[in-house]
Amino acid sequence: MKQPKVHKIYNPEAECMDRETRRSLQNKRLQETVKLEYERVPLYRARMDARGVKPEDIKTVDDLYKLPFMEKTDLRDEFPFGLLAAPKRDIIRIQGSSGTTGKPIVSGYTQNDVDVWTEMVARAITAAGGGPDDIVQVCYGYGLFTGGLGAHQGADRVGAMVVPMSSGNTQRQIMMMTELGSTMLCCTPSYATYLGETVNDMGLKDKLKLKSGCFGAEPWTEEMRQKLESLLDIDACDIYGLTEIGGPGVAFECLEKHGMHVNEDHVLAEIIDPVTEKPLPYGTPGELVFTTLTKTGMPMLRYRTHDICTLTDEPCACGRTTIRMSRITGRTDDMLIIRGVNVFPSQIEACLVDLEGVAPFYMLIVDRINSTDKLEVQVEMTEEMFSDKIGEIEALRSKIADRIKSVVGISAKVQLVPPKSLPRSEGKAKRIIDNRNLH
Amino acid sequence: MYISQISVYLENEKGSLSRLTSLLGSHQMDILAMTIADTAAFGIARFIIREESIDPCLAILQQAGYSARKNKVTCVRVENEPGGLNRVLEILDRAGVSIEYLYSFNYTSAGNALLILRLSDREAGVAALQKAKVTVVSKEEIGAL
Ligand SMILES: [Zn+2]
Repeated sequence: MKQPKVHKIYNPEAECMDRETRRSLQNKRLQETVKLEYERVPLYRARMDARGVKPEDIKTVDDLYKLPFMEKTDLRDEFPFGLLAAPKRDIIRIQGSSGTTGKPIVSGYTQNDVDVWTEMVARAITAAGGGPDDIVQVCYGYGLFTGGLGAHQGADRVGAMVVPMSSGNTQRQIMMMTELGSTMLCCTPSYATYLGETVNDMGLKDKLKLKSGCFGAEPWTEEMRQKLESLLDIDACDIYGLTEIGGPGVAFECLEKHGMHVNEDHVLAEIIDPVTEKPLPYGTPGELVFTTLTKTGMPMLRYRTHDICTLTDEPCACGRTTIRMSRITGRTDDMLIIRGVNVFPSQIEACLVDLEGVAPFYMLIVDRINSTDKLEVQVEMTEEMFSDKIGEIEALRSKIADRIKSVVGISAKVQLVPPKSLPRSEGKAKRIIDNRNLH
Repeated sequence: MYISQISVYLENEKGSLSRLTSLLGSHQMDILAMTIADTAAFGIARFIIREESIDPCLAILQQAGYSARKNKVTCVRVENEPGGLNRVLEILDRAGVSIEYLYSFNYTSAGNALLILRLSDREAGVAALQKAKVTVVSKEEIGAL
């Protein structure tokens, strides 16, 4: 059952710190991290030298742009210990992700890093309503993947009763959930949805004591949240993180559920244009870049996530003073540049959800005609969108075009095509046909 | 009182209508009336079949990948003489009911034309027509054609 919306804050001093005080803390921590990285990590030192940047040049957060970026490939190339800034004997934990091909990537944690990570997850669990009275069922996988252990440590830190189920075995998950009376769930949103559907099919919803959950490790949508919340009658909060930056908890939602609070005393978040690499203002979608401020095992400076989102510094009703990041709406790999504007398929998708209650299948076709880029959006007509009146179909078409114009900022030709007429590809849907021959 | 109509979304390309009619023909769907509306970008086929065939027909269309819908439309019998249609339009106009579109049956009934009307407010329109003694045709009567 959902809880009353009472904002609980794990570390009010850090989370509600006034912004100026936090900024000077960040400046100090950034200087220390840059110095550490320059002294201990040959790859990064060489990169700074190549740019002619010295640690002394970085005095405040405003100097961040001077620093070179780090990439996932750096972790592969320097695998396993090349990026360590601490002696190996101080590393007490390895976490990582397998990646789909070749070498995995790993990150080394000092005791300090595990503590910071644990604190970040504790903040997330508290923000979702968790505390010593809660029974937290963790059904993320335990292992190299940071989900299981991260949630476990955080729940442990807030003093909750932790049920370390790990992933899979749905029947057993539900049995434990009902028998123990678990009040919180930590897992991926898709697995939570599956659990919810199964619980409903088994007619056991009444037996649940769940009130909320922290769901992450994969991108999800507002529609998925609505569904999940009604399936389990809970508050479903988003949590974001990545192994390279410390794991889940880097950012998390409070019960306001409108954007994830970034743990700004431990990480700096920036949004950049993925092509020009220039920083972008709050509110503009672009690539999320993180700098760690307190990690000592494997600090990261300007680490490019290739995730697309926006940041905002609008105040939040919960009282936290940290900036918030939006949901991840896409990956930079999918980005198109049309008439000089960065266009993400996810933005188009956002214009299409909610059309008569359905999210239709779509495809983007880009052409260059008379040296002008043209974007055509083909949308499959669904039963719900169809009408026997021409006027209504035309109105729907212009509604889609207007939304695209206002969200993406460019005009697109919208075509409504019959159902199932667009090509489906195996696996990751291929949504873009670029006929411009730009290479 | 109403009769059921099926409407289907068509791409504006050569042969799309004949593909539809041959699909319906191959399933022995007897089309009693049909009209096509089109724009530069797409078309809508609207047609009437007997009530008992409506749901099977929708299933066939969906199976074949069409966007199709069932709508309730109004059918009236109009005397085949000058002014017959005009009288119907006047009644609706006075009742404040507008016509979204209109077409007619391939069949006549006792020498009279059968018209299909999509009204802005079906119930108000039917009430006005019946009050003015215009024959509104039921789906059972269509089934007997
Ligand atoms: Zn908040």
